[in-house]
Amino acid sequence: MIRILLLMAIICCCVFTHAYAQNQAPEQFDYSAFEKIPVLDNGRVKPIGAFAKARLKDFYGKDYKATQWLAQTLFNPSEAIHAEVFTIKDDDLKSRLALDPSKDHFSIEDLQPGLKKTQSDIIVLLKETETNLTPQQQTLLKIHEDVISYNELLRSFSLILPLKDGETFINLLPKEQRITSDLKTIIAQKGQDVTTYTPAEQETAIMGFQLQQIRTGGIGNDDFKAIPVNLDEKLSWASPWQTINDGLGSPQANTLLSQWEDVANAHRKNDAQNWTAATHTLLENTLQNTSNEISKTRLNVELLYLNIKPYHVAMSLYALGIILLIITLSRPSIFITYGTLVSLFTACLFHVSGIAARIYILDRPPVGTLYESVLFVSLICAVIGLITYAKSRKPILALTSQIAALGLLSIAPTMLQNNDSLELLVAVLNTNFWLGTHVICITAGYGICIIGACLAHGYMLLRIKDPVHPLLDGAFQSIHKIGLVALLFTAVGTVLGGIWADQSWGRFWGWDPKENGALLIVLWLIWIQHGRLSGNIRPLGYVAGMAALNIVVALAWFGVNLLGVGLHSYGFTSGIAAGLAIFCIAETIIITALWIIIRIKQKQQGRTS
Amino acid sequence: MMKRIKSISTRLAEADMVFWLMPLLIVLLIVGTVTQRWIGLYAAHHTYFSSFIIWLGPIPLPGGYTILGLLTLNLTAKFLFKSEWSAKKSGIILAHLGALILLIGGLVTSIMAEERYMVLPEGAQSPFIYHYTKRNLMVFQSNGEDDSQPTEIMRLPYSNIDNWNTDSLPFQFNLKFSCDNCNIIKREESSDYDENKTYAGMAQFMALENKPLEKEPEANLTGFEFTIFGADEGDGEHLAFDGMPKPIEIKSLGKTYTFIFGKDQSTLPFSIKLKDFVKDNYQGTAMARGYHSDVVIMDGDTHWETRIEMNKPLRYKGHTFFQSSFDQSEAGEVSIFSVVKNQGWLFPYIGTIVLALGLILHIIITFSRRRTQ
Amino acid sequence: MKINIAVLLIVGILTYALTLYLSDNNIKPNITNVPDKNSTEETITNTQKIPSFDFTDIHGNTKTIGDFEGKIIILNFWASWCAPCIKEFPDLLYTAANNPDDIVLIALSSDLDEGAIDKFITKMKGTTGFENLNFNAKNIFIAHDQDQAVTAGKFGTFKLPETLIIDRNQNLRKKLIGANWEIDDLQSSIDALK
Repeated sequence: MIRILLLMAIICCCVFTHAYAQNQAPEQFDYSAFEKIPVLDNGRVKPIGAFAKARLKDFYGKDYKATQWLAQTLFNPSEAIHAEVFTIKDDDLKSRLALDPSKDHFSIEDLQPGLKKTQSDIIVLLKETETNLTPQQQTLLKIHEDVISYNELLRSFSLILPLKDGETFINLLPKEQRITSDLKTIIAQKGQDVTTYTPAEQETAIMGFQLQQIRTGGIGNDDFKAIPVNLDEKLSWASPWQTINDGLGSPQANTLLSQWEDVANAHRKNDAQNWTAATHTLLENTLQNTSNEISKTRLNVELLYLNIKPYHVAMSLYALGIILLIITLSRPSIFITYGTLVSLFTACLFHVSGIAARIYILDRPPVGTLYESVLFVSLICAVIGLITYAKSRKPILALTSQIAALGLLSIAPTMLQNNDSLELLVAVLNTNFWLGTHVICITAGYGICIIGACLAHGYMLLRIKDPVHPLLDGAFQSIHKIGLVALLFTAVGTVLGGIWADQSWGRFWGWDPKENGALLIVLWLIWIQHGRLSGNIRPLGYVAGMAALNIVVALAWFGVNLLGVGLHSYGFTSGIAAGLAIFCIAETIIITALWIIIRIKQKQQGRTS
Repeated sequence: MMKRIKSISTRLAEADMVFWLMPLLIVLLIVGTVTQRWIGLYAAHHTYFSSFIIWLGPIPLPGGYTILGLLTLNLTAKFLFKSEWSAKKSGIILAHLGALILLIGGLVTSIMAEERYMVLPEGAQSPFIYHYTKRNLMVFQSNGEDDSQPTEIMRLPYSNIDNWNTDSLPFQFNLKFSCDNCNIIKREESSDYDENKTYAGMAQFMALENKPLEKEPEANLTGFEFTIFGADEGDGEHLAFDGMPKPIEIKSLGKTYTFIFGKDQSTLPFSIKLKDFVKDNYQGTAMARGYHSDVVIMDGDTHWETRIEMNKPLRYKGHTFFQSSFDQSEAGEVSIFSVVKNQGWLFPYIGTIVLALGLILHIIITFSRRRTQ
Repeated sequence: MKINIAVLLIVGILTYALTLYLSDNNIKPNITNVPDKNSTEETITNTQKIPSFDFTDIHGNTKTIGDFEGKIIILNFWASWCAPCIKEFPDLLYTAANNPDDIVLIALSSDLDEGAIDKFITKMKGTTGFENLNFNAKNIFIAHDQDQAVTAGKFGTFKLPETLIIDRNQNLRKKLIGANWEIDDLQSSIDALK
């Protein structure tokens, strides 16, 4: 029966995914080809859809309809300056920038006068270190930077967008020599007063001026790197302006630029049919120019990954599973059990596929950054909880591990450095072997520790509610076994880290904060195990010690990054210190309180263990 | 007597020793890690982990060596006296043996490991490697202008600067003042500036004054001031410091004495030439994807090329070369290697394997036992 | 207990022996292959055929680029008002003179009209040190590119100078942006294609 249900779950997932991919809300244009066009951003080639989402999130805070916004920005700059994509909520700042206080979102047009006014303030602010600025100052600085970045996007294609008479900058460029020399002659004859010119001469003057304007706007414009360049052994990418300004042009670049021109024109004329044809041609030609180094499948997967947001789906389903498990504790029923299994299984499916997508897109083991490690540990908790529940139908372990999984997934986004979660690795981590062995082993160890710790919490709560509950004994045995397995993974993971350090830096152990953190977990586990063996720690104390593993792991995992010291400081975080402190203090209070309450109850009942 | 030894040994082998020692180690670990933020890795190392006693005011507390030493003793005693091999206990015994090998290996490494570094600009070749922190004053003697091979006649370690014996030199060498970390100030601004004194060499323009120590000991600029008296050429007040551009030359009785002060230098049995250093950035960013050095090993008659990069060191004649760091500037590219010689390197590997096997075995035994019960 | 003492001793001796054995082996160099720099010149991954175009040189000869299949082509985009172009011109001429049978130099000028080219050549010939430059060698073609039709229109070159090195099969192999190249490097690039 359970197998049928699981099969149904898988089928549902596939249908859901497929339906989602096909049935986006009907749009004026078909963006399916456009959003796949590869661009280089932040060191990585990604589809335009991903680029748009990241940028819009930077400016606006949300990535809704990002591709549409980007198309308008690139191809219709005169309309785009009215798009209200900059978010300011601080009323004080709004008045400082002379903005309408009733709105929270503003266009670049709204912002221009206020930014001009505060230009001198910015120069002062730029000299300060980031931590010394007030939130308002940080927002002001960010707005200025965002507007500069937005302006650059607006001008990315100014060289192929039509000027007043329909000609484009790039077509006029070859004539620039003649225009300039003609203009020189005119000025020599008639001076600079335009009113004395003939209409033809005025034309020349205007053209010369326009060319100058656009050229100035294109200097240093290298943000939108959509043109593949094949001039050296390696594939590289250039922005449209770079093909003109930096000598990165080529016959192929010329073709691509004219294809971009077709796309832009179709967009401006609202011609949906030509748009579809033009974007398809552009996509195919761009891919061809990368000599098929960039695979269309990879671009597709990244877009799917961003659109479906698998972790959000997983989180909702974990929450559902948790609710059902809580119901099971008081009102067991076969239907609720099945429901729990299906919902948890589906949650894990989405979770796993999210991680699998990351492995495929980034081509490396999924534990290179702090964010990824949180996703991975969360998965370990969820999967182990699911498997044990499926086998033994005992709900406490499942409940506690799913709560841990959900909790970790919800704090994961705070670990990100910027709005693109697919981050690059620092040089020393650029080794798939050690990422796949040491880091996976250690993060698996973290996961198992957390499961043990959460189960210990569950044990203590249950013990308070009902000191002779039949599940307690089994739970205790499980805690002990989990402790052993946790010790295996953390100890082996730690020494594997030492071997990696020996291979990379020449010393097995350097008393580095991250090394010390991992060792701390191992020592803690060893301590409570040996204490229990020698009788110095009673069983209840042992359980409390396992529960405290949460604190130890949190300190080892996140705390060491805050120190910012040593060879290992590449976890970079900011603003996590407060959350960590609150967590540790809260946990200490909770565990101590639970321990005290149970001891009091024991004494009341005259028992001693 | 034997009985006494046996009873002490058995006591040392008890599990509760771990129960008492672990919290000490845990506290040591936490304190030693957190203080690194303020005093730096090197100082934390020396104060907490590579010491026997930590003084908290007048109170002595056990340091890293003490605690780990006691743990090693405990593990050894347990292994020798309380580890009867049996099917049930084989996993645990093996795991403890693994831990013991790791601890002993750590001890061997801390005694025998030699860590040095080499800074090699592109195109340059060198057989010299340098100590990270030890500095010494080398004195070379050459017999007149034509002697191209000056011989080293003295090597005085800075750590022992108060006891330098320079009697064998044909002139007087008097140490005036030394600073572990120095600030270079203008000669006129020094506290004991006297127009009538003879200042020689760089001492004419510069003086040294004391400065608080840096967090990283390699970053300290160590130096000292001294006077020379009784030489034919070079009498007067001198100064020397880390990385001085020009060595000091004193001439006496037809011979030239050269003073060079810097990090302790050793010579490899071969030399290395840096052909090219490459920093590979992620496209369009300044973030390094990786970097590597293409080098040529020149060992007598044999020359061969190889590449040293992150996670792929070069191992040759007992020395291992790691791509540690680099510098890129107008003057050119410089590759920095860390050079390690460690005879005890194999211990941690063996210890790891034994430990892993032991733990896996124990888990299998524990889990299968439960099932059959 | 005795067994365990033996175990410890064996482990110690084995480790020591293994260390010695492994360090002996280290005397043989472990070579990681450094890719040969020259070979990468040959294996540019995405070589593209250059577009076809015609030109008429200053002597009135009309040619199609396809006529030069079988020769290594140095295609240079320049103009008389571009200072770096003038700086590199002699090096191009020398290279053409040194490789009379293997290469063809085609220098397309983006000047407004042909008169500027003639003026430039006359000026060059009159400059000390350059009297011996042979502008009329058989493998040199100087031509005017009207309205930059070829330079910009076909090749996407908008900043001068650029020098393209094209192999015997009319594939673009290397592009020198600007005038910052050494004549020796140009020669070795040509040698690699011979």
